Amino acid sequence: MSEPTHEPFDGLAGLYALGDLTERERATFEEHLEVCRACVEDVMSLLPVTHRLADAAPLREPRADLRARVIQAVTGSPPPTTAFDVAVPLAAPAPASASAMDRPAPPRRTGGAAQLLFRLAAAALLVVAGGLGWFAAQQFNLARALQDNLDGANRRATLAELEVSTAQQAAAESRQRAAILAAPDALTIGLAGQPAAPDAVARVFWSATEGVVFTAAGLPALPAGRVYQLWFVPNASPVSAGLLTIDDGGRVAASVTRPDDVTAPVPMAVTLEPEGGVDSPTGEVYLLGRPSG
Amino acid sequence: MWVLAVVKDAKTDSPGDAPSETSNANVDQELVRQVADGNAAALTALYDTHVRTVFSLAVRIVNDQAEAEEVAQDVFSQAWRQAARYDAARASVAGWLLMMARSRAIDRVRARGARPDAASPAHDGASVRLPDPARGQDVAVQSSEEAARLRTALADLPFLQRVAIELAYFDGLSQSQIADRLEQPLGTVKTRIRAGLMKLRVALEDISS
Repeated sequence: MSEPTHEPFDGLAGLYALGDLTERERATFEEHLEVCRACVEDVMSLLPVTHRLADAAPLREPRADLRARVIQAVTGSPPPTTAFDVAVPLAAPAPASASAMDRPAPPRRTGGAAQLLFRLAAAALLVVAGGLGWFAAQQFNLARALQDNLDGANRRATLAELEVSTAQQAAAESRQRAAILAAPDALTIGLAGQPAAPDAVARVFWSATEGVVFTAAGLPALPAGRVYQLWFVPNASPVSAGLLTIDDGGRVAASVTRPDDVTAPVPMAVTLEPEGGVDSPTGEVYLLGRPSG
Repeated sequence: MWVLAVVKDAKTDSPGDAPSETSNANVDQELVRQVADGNAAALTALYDTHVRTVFSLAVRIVNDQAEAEEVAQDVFSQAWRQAARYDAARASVAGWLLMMARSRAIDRVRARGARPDAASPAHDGASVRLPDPARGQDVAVQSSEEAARLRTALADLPFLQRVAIELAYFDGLSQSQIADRLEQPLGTVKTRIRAGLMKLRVALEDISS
């Protein structure tokens, strides 16, 4: 069933986003999602809509006695009579992700780091598709499905090489990146693939308070002795933002340190450079984008 | 221009509306955390905040008052057992609960082996439509505004697109069941659903921008 043609999957993104495929259809479609970026983008752009369809249900007030019945049945005792006060730190920044991020990372399989990376890349696409900070439950399913697929596909190639320490570091970085993605002041810079990499696409999430995150997908495999280098391009003289490590799918997600004198978002670029990187770009430009669309 | 628009949004949001939304989300997350600790009072508060949307979605899907109540109980029971697994980075609390509600409700409809009879008595009188006078006024107003937008956008869709989407989302019908019901080829159904969702997306974006 997992033939590379797109045709049999035409239109399925809508049903998938609606959660309307059977188990088998879904499994097959998710296999296809692994290889078809158009379908992934389709799903990503439709999920924010399907998530809101619950709003179309006319508002109904349940009977008052349901409350006591449910609470009794679920907890084994009647609803408490006193009001429940929740102490919430209102001043906490990045609230959407705070509690999840504070929790210790759940145990992961060997593929932990790569899964995190991919989940982040998926999350980045979701943010683009659905507006900052928007994560639907269905998106979670999708991201998990995609990362599971990635895990299966890349397990031997990528994941076996990862040391535990690398995974832990990636997890810590990933938490930081999640904070940036959720930051209320984050802006997005879209980077387009240049002729050297027409299929590549990247996004920069720029938060003055939380930092800068770079995500990309579709970068070609590196020739021997070469690396991808990311650049801030504030004016005529680009400043290196560091070297990028891509996975087998040409994906990367990395936190970037912003130079002190670059305060507002600036154009960003990715070039192909000799191993070890260079002080100013010498190689071909693979990705390029400016802050204002 | 794009940057300006974003900056302006951020400015209008931060002192005014956003904090209440944010603190609602904070409260929700804190509630779920305490539910995970087995706090019955927190579950009660979670119920009070979300039962209306959960129940409304359930009624729409199962088309039966009593069964919708069972769905609501299923949902809060599942929340009670699985609260520790909730991850705020992945879904809003409301989204999490509604996802469970839809899934449980559709399971029940499918277990009946047929779509609920459209003339079933659930839609008249057994449940009462009225605003909750006591709590959550802000939340209720806000969500009903959003809901109104969605309903308008949905109503503006070409008839068959809207019906196909509703059959898929609310009735949980498979693509071939929808095709049978609408007497349309399967490919047409898939195309209609996708096109309808795309139109909804554009409509919602237009209104919100």
